[in-house]
Amino acid sequence: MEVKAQGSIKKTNLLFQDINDALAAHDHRIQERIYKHYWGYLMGVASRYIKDRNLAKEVVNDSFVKAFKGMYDFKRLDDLEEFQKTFKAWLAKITVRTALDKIRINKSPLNFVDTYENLYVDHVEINNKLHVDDILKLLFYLPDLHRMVFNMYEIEGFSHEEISKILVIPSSSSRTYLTRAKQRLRELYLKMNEIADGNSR
Amino acid sequence: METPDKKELIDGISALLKAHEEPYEPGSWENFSKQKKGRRPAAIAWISIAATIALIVTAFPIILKDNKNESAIVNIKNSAKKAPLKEGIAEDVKIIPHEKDEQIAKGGHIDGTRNIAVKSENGGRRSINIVQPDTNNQIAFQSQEINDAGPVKANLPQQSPVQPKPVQEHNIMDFLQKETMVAQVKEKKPSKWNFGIELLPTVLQNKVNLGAGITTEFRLSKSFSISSGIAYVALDASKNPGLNSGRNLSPDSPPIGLASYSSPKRLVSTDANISGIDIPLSLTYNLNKKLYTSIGVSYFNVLTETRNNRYITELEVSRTLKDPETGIMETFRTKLAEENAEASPESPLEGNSYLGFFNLSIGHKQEVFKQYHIVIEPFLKIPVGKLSNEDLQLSNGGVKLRFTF
Repeated sequence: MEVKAQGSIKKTNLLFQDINDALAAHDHRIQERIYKHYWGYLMGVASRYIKDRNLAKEVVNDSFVKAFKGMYDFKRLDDLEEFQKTFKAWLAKITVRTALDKIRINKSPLNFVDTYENLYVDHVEINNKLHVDDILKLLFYLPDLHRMVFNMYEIEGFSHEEISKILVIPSSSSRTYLTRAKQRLRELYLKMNEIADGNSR
Repeated sequence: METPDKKELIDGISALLKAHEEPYEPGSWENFSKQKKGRRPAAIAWISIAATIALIVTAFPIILKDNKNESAIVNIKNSAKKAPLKEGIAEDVKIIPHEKDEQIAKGGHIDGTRNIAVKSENGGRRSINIVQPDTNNQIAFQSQEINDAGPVKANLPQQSPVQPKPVQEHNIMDFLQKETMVAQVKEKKPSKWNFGIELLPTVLQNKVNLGAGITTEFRLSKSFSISSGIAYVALDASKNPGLNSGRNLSPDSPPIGLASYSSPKRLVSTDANISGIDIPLSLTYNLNKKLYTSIGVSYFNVLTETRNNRYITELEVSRTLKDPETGIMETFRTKLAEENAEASPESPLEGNSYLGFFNLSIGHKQEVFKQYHIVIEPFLKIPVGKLSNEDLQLSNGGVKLRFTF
């Protein structure tokens, strides 16, 4: 198992060495390898924002187009591990922004916010195993703006200031939406477990 | 994908989603590459369209010429020096359409095959089938003896039509076709520039004026050309303010008899003699080889301007006569009119340049001595801008007589 993991790390390092060299040489042939390596990751990012899978694929492709245009100016680092992290985060940020643009194009402005009736749940422990598909379903029960703030803050690592600029909302609203999104997720999770328990009985 | 139990839900979701990656879907990169190619910038797309049109425009006449060449007879002298021939082929060779294959030759292609008969000076004849397979652009030649007699006994390999042919023979046929085309192009290619001298009798308000100049013409295409030139033009123009609008001038005539008088001096007309340089720029459309029509504008620089004003001085006179028989005094009024002309000190146009005239014309070309043309071109010039605001009637027309070379 360890041998396999070490092999994977070596392979990744090799890829990033190649990416580093290709970016320096403006070699366009590296694009295919980058695309294939990061497609799944960026699909994961896009799927958190866009429910429609085909639309999510479009977002990923649009993001790659943007990334391939700008990546030759990307600051290259000697530390491959650091370079890998920053490059990956950079791709994710491009994808998030592209997804938000896509939502804005396809939908009305992001100003619709639901009011919750029962906001009393502030801590929930995981009882059962979490599955990505279930979590994604829960996420899409949230209002658009809440889901976006949650994703951007909790998963992508944007600050509230950044979120407020990108979504054109006050940072205080961003904080509020985040709190509400978390509460709503907990509430939904409990309900989901209740239904699952009821079914099992 | 699972998370360990007893973890706060939000932390668990965050960790789960951060680590989440979908498996790569085969074919995604290929689809992306196709899309990427389709997203070429608009400028590149326009350049591509323009290049395609240019290619079609340039290739179309060549293709037409190429088809015409198929049935042409070509004399080749010392072709062996220009392109090596196979052993046994005489130096002086004529390529003529085969009598049997005349219809095929006229028709061009039947199933991608063309038949051409090659005839030597000694009477030997050989038929060459040019086979153009659909799958590629290679041309294969099949040699077949029609008349065994004669020195044209080519040692050409007996190949099936679809087999690849020797490169040498391909080159020969290419060479023959190119030579024919080059010869035709050299013969027919006229110069794009034409120059000429012209005489411009101009009719303006029943007066005939004369002008002369030189012209140049650049052929843009078969139908369109741009022409320009420079001409010296003299115009005799006049304006008539009208009898009622004449200016009343101060009385300057002495009294006659006993009567009171009034003597208004009225401007009847102004005659102007204008000479200037006319620089026309016209777009010409050739209706056919002999007839054309042209439209354009002229830049007009006034070199000299002379104006003469014509006045009528009318004197209204009261006269008293005594009847010798009755001795009665009779008074009556009469008018005395006097016309005179004097040079006007005004010359508002002189020394100025104007976008002067809008030109319309239609012309007829007659070829003389192959390279030269005599052109008769009725034209109409309508003043525009500043010149149209002048009271002078400068609209004029005439017939240009031009000799071009």
